Amino acid sequence: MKNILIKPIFILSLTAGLFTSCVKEDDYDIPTVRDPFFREDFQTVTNNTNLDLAGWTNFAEAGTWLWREKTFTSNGVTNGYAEFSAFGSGAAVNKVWLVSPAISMDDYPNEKLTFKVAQHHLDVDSPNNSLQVLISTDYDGTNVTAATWTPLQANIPVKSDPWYEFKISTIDLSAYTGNVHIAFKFTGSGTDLTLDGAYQVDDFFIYNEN
Amino acid sequence: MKKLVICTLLVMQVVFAWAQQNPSLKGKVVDSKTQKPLRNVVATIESTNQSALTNALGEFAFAALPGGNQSLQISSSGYTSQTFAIEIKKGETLDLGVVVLEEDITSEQQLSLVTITENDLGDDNSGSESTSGLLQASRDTYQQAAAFNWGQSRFRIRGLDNEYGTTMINGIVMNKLYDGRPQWSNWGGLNDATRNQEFTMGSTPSDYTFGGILGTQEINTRASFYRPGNRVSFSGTNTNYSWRAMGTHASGMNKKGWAFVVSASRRWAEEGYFEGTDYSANSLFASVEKKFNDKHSLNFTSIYAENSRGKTSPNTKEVNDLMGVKYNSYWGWQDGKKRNSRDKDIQEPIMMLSHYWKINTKNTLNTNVAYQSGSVGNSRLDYQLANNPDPTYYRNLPSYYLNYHNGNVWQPDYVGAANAKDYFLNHSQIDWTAMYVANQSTVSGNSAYVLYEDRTDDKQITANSILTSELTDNINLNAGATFKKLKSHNFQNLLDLMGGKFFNDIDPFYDGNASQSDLNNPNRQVGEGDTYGYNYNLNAIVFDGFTQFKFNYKKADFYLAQSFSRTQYQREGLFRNGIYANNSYGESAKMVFENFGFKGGLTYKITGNHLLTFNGVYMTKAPTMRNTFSNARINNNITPDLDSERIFSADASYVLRTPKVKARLTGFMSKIQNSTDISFFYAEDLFDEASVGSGNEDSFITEIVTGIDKKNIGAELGVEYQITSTIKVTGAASYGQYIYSNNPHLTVNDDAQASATNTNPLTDFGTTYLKGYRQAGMPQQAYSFGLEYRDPKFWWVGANVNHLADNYLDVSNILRTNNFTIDESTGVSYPGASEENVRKVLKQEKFDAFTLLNLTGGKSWMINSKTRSTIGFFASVNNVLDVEYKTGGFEQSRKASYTALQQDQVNGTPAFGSKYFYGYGRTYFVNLYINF
Repeated sequence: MKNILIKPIFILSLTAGLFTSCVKEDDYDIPTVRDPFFREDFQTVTNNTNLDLAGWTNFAEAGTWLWREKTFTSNGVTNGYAEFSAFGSGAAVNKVWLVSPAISMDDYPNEKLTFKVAQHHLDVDSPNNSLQVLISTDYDGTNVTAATWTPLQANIPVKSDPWYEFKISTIDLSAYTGNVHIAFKFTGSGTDLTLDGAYQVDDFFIYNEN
Repeated sequence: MKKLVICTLLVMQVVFAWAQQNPSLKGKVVDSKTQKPLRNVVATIESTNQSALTNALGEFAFAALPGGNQSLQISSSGYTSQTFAIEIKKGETLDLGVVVLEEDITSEQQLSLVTITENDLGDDNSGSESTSGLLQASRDTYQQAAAFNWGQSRFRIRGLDNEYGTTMINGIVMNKLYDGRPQWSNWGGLNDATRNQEFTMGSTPSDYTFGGILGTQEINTRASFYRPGNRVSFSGTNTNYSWRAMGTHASGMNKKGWAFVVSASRRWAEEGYFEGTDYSANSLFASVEKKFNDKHSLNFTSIYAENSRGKTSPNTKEVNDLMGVKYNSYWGWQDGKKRNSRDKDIQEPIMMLSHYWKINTKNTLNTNVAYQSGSVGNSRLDYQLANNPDPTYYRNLPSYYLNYHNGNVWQPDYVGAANAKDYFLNHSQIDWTAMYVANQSTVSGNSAYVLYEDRTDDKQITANSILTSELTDNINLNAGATFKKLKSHNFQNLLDLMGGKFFNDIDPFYDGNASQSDLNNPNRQVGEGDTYGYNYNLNAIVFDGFTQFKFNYKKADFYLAQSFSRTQYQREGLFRNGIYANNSYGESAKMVFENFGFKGGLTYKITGNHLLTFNGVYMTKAPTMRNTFSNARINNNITPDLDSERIFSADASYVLRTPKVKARLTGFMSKIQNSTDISFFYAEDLFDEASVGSGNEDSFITEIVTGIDKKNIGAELGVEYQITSTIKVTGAASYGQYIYSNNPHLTVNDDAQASATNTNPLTDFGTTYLKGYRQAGMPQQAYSFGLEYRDPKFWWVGANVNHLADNYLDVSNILRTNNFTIDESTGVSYPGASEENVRKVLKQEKFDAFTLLNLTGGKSWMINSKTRSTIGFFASVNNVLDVEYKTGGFEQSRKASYTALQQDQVNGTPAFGSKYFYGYGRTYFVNLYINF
């Protein structure tokens, strides 16, 4: 009796073992993908015009100048970005906001914001010539100053950083829900020559980190 | 419950003599053709493993056997073994009468086995060849199918590389320390002389070594073991060679105790199956034995096999579409002859002295000393400040123009593409004349192009002793110890100045000191026969030992074995390289690895005809020398995170052996952890301008992947059914899944980033996501069905149909790091690199399944019954339907980012597409032989 059972048990367990430990053909790992669900690489801009990308708010709280669209070509590759330079603005104080469109924080579990900032002609590290990155959950799309803005910890270049060298910031937004807006708030002066440094912003992406 | 002996294979007489006295079983064994008694045939009672040998009259006898139904196997090397169901009655003698053994036709078929080489995938100096594992014929139906029917499509048993098998000659392990693989060419063409072989499968015990997880092959060249006689054969084929002539003489042991064997062969082809693949191989073998007395014998074997062959190129689909699958870019016309630029030349003669000591009836000690020296050379073209001579260089092909990008903008140049196509079709081979002309028109008379070889000159001495001891009636001991010492001299050897006066030994890609290959001897002008470029020794000292206990009982056999080894490697630089001035000359650190292994297994006999066997092994394995020094050609650096491999393997089988049906079903799994893979290639998009300087972003790099885990699971089946005494059906199947089971670590060495302060210019690329990818280069599914008719008048024919599937492309490791998906300048994926798209472009290519039909047949005639001379032929046609199929291939790693890869594929014909190897179409093999 025992011998009759051994064979089928052996063959069955072999088959079962084989089937349970096999891996399906599409079951392979891939490198990390950070495919932004919100993407603004500023590649569609027109050089030396006021920034007017769809959905973005370009608002001067002080002074009249606005964020500009810029391009730079190197080795045949043209890169577009946003820039505010207070140099020659004529205003004693420039406070200018570049505010992103509304971005939903409800579609993905682990949102990360990333963007790049560079400076040039920055003479001092001072709040009076600075770039702040802020977030709001109650901005209505038109009235910038009426909204509640919370600063975000970003990797903003300082005076000692080389000019035009973009530094990447990555910020965790997973705690937010609902719609948010991200703002880049420039502060500087067109009349005080120590406060007329410029900031450039590029490659603004929000992605879900797996 | 048949009481009578079942007579299966042959017409034979069976006599029962009911006698009152011992022995309980006896018989006589003769050769079917000559009717001559056969000596040293083994008769084994399968349930108890009791065995007896036949004497000079061909007679065997068992003194006392347990009563009841038993299964008796009669076997001898070179003959088809037979199994009889018998019933032993206590106190009675069962006389089997005359057992007629027929010559094993597979031993003829064995001669037609062509070593299929792996075409040297990398550009490394690999001396040995990756063949389809231990694909030589044993008696196992499954292994025969694997060797004869699947071998041509690069099937590998259990998906394992042959570095996990052990190949021995007279107990001396022939696997090379450099890469762990045996160099088959060292005894190639000596099929007659290497006929005496023993195999074990998986981790089952061998009497000679602890072994690996694939199995062992032991070739015995002891002169007295050869059947006396002469044999001359001549073959024609259209595989890697065209003709083969072979002659062998074995004397047998004379009265004064001398025996000798000599064998010689020549194989040659002006052009093998693929274009421009010339072949020339000469092999000589001699073995002589002196028996001093019943206890002591000495045997000396010398093997000299020289082999020179032209290699064939793997090609992209673009090239194959233009030129066909037999196209080979390595050759060109010179003076009306095809000259191959990539030849492989091997000559590594072996000498072995063996001492056989029969201490007493229970103990034998075999001691061997072997010395092997010689050289392996792989030739290539080298060039300085001149155009790449490769006709398939990417700028010569239409794809380069079709995929042209200016910055990020696709600007296909259709005129350029059409011109490139015309040019390539008219200049598809190497232009030797143009290179000679260029060499004769340089300003200072130096050669712009030269032919050189990557040379490895090894000197290895090996000594071992193997003890076999019968401790009790049920317990046997095998024990062995081996010492090996290797000095391997590796260098670049200038073969041909090709019309120029000298060659400058500098690397013109670098400036100043960095351009010097030897700062101790800078700015050398070298000529033919000079060493240049790189020059170093690799030294190794290895000691290993094993013990093994085998227990045989009525209901179960089991064994336990353990091994220990100590391996030491050291590099000794003979050049002071300009890039690595302080860590290239002189000795490297000594790398020492201590390794051990344990294994055990059990055979449970349900009855004599039904067995269950289980085997398990855990062992560690020292890294190969190849993987220990990450940039051995030019510095002493050690591979980062280098450690031994951890190997675990287990299998379970059900074996059925009745006179009519023989079957084996096995399930197996193995895990190989912590292995290393090193490769060299040109890559783009790895480094940004800031770290390497503008214009140097394309770099010739070393890719080091460490901590690779592989998992192989599967089942194999072999069934043989004797329908009638003349017709046999065989079936074999292998279903496996051989995958990478983790995400290992990838590091890149870039010489361009080396400096006085950075002598080991490594860049960490983090994880390479390989988990779930298939191990490449072999079909993971294989099925065979065969029919064989064997006429009593000594002729036979056979046919088999084989289906092979699940063979995959070798994937690029660097394309599977985050470097591929994440744009460092933005921190997010490249545009378009969504998960779906990335998954799509990184999907592993699976080759089409295919079905091969093979035919075999043969006949032999007795030409003189007094001298027992026979003449015969064997013929086979493989892949009768001329099916075209890929046997392997690899992804190129040059376009290492998603965007670059997309740009290269924009037109559908990438310039850096995967390269493929193809199998042989219809091939034949005919062998004529005379035995006298």
